[in-house]
Amino acid sequence: MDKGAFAARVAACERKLYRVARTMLRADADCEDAVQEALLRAWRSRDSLREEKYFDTWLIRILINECRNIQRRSPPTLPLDRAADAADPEKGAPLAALEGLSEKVRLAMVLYYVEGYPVGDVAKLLKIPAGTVKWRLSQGRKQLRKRMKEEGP
Amino acid sequence: MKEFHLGDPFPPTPEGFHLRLKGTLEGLKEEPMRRRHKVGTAILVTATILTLLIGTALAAGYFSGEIDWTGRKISEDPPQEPFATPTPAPPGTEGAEARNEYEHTILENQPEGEYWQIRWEDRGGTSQGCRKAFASLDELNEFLVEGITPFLLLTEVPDGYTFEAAYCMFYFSADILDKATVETEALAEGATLTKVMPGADIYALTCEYAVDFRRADGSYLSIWASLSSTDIDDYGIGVNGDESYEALKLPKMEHALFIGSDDHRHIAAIAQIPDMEGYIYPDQYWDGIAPDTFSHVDYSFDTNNMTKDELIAFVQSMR
Repeated sequence: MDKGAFAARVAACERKLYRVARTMLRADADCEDAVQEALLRAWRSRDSLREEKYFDTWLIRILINECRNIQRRSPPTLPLDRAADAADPEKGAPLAALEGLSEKVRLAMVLYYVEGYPVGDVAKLLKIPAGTVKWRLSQGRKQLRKRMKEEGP
Repeated sequence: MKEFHLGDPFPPTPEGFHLRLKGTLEGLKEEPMRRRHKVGTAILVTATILTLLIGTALAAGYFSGEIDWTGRKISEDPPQEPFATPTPAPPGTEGAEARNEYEHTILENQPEGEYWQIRWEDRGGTSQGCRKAFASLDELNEFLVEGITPFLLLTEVPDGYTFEAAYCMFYFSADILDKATVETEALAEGATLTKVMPGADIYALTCEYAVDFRRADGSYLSIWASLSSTDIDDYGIGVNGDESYEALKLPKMEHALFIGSDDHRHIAAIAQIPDMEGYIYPDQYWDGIAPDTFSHVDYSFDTNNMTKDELIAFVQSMR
């Protein structure tokens, strides 16, 4: 894959990369660091991608690993501006409710409901049994419904 | 079955993220690609030596991949491992969102014990299985003992935890489907709603139960049990690089694995049962497909607070 093709594929999934990074990391600066490291790692390893149709899931997996590296380096905190957004219903009650979930549940919810991966692929991305994925989705749905009902319309 | 819809709740992609991505791509150099397999081999050899020295099945160093029930590594996952399923093409946002919202408003009305399915003329659809909720652990157990599925039952609420929620789901037998009342209803825009009302006999055919316990500080212990038709030897349990893992010997379980990290402990286990036959989806029966043969029960125990020993003790208390 040459640089042009690589860049085109990355650009096409930019939104997806942001959503996954944002699910795991609260600070925009951390999301930027994670995507930069993920892209560099993916570019260096591009020969191991056997078929280009698997590009997106391959890159997502690298990004998840980079996000975990950043999490290990610093404790999770909610930046003051994000806290304000979470409290402002105009800025997105669903996102605030999503952020109230544990990271493991939140990531499963985003990969399944927002990114559209089936349970089997979510299980492979997160390296957990499919049963655990289903349970986390069940927990996420229940908790989100409860939170969004509490926050009102 | 995606009966819950999130849409895209995220804010617009920040300009800073876009600029960093764009700048990183522009700075990429067309240098010769690295061959990674030698590095991977070195990691494997190092991990193997350390494992032998420690003399346990605990993971040493970094390993991300799949293991079998004995803790044996069956595949290592370099970050760039491709997946069997091609990336799904994102649906046209407006059409998909509108349909998802519509399906949700219909399925919200599904009563307990009924199976509902929405099918669209030009594409698949959504189904929502038969379900029943319970208000206490005792109520769940009283229900489960009346059914024919030989689940192990939880006997106690862990210290410091309270019961939060539980539900069961059900499968179908040919007899049940033969006697079920089936109604179809035309919905808006080329969709059809099929309601399968199997009657109270369905409640003996539990295929899954789940229980959630919670502490006042928000910690959780979640348990999930499900009939499975997968061959025991076909399991590969995923392990992340920050997790240790260990094969366990637990009473009443054919196999069990502990997988743990700083913030999460998990036990996956399976228990063999006498073969049972049934259908998870009525369509399988109506299409003349042979029923699934369920040969064991998968169990999953997840916690973010209990220690490994506490979690093992909890699993051992099941009857």
